[in-house]
Amino acid sequence: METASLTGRRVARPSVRGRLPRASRPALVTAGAVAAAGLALIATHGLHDVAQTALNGVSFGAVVALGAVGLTLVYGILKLVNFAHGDFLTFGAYMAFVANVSLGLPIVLATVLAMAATAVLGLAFERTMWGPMRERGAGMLQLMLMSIGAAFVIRYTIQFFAGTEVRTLGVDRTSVVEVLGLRIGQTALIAGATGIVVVAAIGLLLRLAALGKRMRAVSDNLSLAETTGVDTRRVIVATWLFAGAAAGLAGVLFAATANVKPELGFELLLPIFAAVVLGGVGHAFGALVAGLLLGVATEWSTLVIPSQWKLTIGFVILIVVLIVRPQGIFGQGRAT
Amino acid sequence: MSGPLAIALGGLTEVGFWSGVGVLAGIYTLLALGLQINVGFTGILNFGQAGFMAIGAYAMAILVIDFRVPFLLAVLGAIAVAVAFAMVIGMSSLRLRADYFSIATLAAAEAVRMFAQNAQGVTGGNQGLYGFDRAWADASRQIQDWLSAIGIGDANGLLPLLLVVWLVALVAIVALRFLQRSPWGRVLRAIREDEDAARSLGKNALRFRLQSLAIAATLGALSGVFLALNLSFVNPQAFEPQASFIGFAVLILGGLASYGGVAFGAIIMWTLLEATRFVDLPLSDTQIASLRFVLVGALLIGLMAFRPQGVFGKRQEMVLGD
Amino acid sequence: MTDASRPMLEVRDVACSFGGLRAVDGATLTVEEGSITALIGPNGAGKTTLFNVVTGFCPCEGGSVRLAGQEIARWAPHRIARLGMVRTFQLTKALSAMPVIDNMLLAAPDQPGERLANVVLRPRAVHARERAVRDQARELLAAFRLERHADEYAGTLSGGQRKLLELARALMARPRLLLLDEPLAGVNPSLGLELLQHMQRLRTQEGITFLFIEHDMEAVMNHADLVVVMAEGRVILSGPPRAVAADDRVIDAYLGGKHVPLEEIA
Repeated sequence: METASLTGRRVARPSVRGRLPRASRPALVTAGAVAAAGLALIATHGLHDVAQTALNGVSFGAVVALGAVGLTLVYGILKLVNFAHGDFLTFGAYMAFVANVSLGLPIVLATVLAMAATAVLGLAFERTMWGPMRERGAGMLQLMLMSIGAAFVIRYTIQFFAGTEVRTLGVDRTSVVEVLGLRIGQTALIAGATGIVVVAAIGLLLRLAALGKRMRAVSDNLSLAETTGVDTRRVIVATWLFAGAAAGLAGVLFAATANVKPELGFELLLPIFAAVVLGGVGHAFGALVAGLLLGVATEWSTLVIPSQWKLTIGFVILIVVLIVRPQGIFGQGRAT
Repeated sequence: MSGPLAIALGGLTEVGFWSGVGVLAGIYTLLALGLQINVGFTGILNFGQAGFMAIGAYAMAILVIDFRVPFLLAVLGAIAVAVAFAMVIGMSSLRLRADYFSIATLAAAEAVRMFAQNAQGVTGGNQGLYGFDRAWADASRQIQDWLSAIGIGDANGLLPLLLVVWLVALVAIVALRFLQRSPWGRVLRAIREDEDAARSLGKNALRFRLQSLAIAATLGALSGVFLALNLSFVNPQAFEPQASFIGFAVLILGGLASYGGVAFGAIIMWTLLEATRFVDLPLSDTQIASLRFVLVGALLIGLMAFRPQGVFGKRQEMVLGD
Repeated sequence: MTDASRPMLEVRDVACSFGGLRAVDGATLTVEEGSITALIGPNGAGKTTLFNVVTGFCPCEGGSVRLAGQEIARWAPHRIARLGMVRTFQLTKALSAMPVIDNMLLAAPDQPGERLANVVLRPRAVHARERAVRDQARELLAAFRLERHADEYAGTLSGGQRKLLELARALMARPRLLLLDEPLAGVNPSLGLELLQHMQRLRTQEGITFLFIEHDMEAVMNHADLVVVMAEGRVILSGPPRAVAADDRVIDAYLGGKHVPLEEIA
């Protein structure tokens, strides 16, 4: 790890880990806190409400995790804080809308097309912006401001063509399924399950597959990986493919359970950042755990505070994590 | 001129247009001056100026409307609240790595906006607040009378606000330049370049950073107050993160490490943005609004790619890279 | 000069982990006031980390650090510097984006102008001190033959000149104890000699205590009163240069067991 300063105020780069989370102290503390909160809520609101909101939270959190895994990969492997990531979700949602509603394709096909389109978008930005800037040795502020510029361009180009009206995808939004005495929308259930499966798959891939190992090598030290023969270009392409596809899928799933609007991605960006930071930058499984935690916390909060405030829980968690343990539950090293 | 790309140049000669541009440019000059001292001279990546703007506007409005505080006192109160908020953010987040700090400030600004949106009892929610500018309206009329007495008429009554905003902006620029040349400013620049070197010579880096953030908060709050006066009401939509990033575009346009350049950047930026009104294409209002933001985004990308030091920035003073 | 046996720096059993390694693992040493002490040892022995620990840049895990009797372990770096222990860095930290004279002015202590309130409320006091500091800075730059570069950006100086600047700048801070991290690295021999002569002069004339890390054994032999040897995070021995040079433990530490007299390496 490089250190540009000595006080622990390092500019050390976060690295990507695909390992399953060890029983580390932060993980145990977090699990303890969640359990304590859950028990307190059960005591005051009864098991059914707590379980119901938890189920809703898992469904929402899985989508957040799906959005977060792409961001965390790009952040961890390419050292890029991609503020445009939220708008990748928006892009995916709109592509699915075009395919599904405008062109009448079945939703599954539309989703796959949306994922592919978003992956291509990510790669296009890499080819035209990130790659060249990386070669020029661009600094952090330059890259961050560029990603913000990209966010503006994506979101407002979509808005230019599609307008600000809120739309919906052609999915079944009314059927409800019963699970263990709890009710959940059929679409929400599918969305949640898909999110969990895909993020877990990415995590496993990072840990087990050869490509995953190469990605982790690049995330630790790009130039070193290059000299040891890792095809960094392939790793970079793979990163953007995963990130883009995951983001596109997250956008579609969120739109399926809610609606399609230009602010979709940006409204999710801060919960996604919260999940990335809470889980530890570069940690795929961390993003999964953190996303689910955030979803559950967000939904549990509606038992205690008016529901319009529920999204602020994401902020509270983000700020608390940054103060107490900025490297998150599973991140290594120090981040001050 | 004719054809689909003709710009209705007539519009560009209206005094109303320029005073509108001028007020917005002045407001964003104040906002971006805060960014300049943070990013250009202290090296801290403050992505939350919109939050200080919101605090300035809302605190002032609430003090005037709910507590019947006289306007000028309310402005001072608003600044105090913004500085207090900056201290809280700073104490908790300034020790973080630069990118985490930027995320923290973005989150803090969004938290302010969400509070404004949801705490309906206090902030009026999405409806917003109005009725805080009676004192200003009187003052404005008085200024207008003075101007008319010396022969300057006005089409739409924006001239008093324009003058006051720019007066404050110019005072701020002079004050900041003075600060920059002082020993205090010297320590700030040292911390920006190499915090450990500064520490090894006895400088408390955290304290200087906090002070820099407090100054940015003050300038942000002032810009928020003026925005509130310009709109005659405040609502959450006026303080979305877009404002912070338009501020950054202004900052980069004028150049890092140049306070005067900020004014230049703001004028250029808002002339460009407001001029989009006159593009004679068959576009709806929403589309023109969207086009503006695409423009801002493209400008940010272009500047970062091709001229990161901006128009007036000096290449060797550029410490943008980490 | 005051009582020569009073220790300026006392380090007892200090430890520090760095990047997962225990880089300093129970180091103990004493630096007498007004002495010039050299800290030597193979790469990775923990010398720079020891500097980091005593100056507050690395969190100290256990043990004690006393500066002229004052306990300073776990103090913030800027407080330690203000107490009179100033350090330089292995990779010179001359502030390249600032002019040479600004580098010097920065280091001066007791500047009312560094307090925001004073800049606004007491401009005359600020101005007066600024003038005094500027004169001092120019004198010091002249002593190091850098005064003609005063208004140039520090980044335009050569590597050796930057080392001199870092030393001059550290002196502006009115140190009692100066920690120099490899002051001769990458410096041409004549400039290096100049630096060492400055060190001797400052010790004699101003009573400044020096502790320096060096690999240049000739410098160590000829200019240090005392040599401290570190290996694997610990101080393995300390004593006058000749005694240390002949000690087998030092040779083992450097060469991993092969016995070659130190004089032949220097």
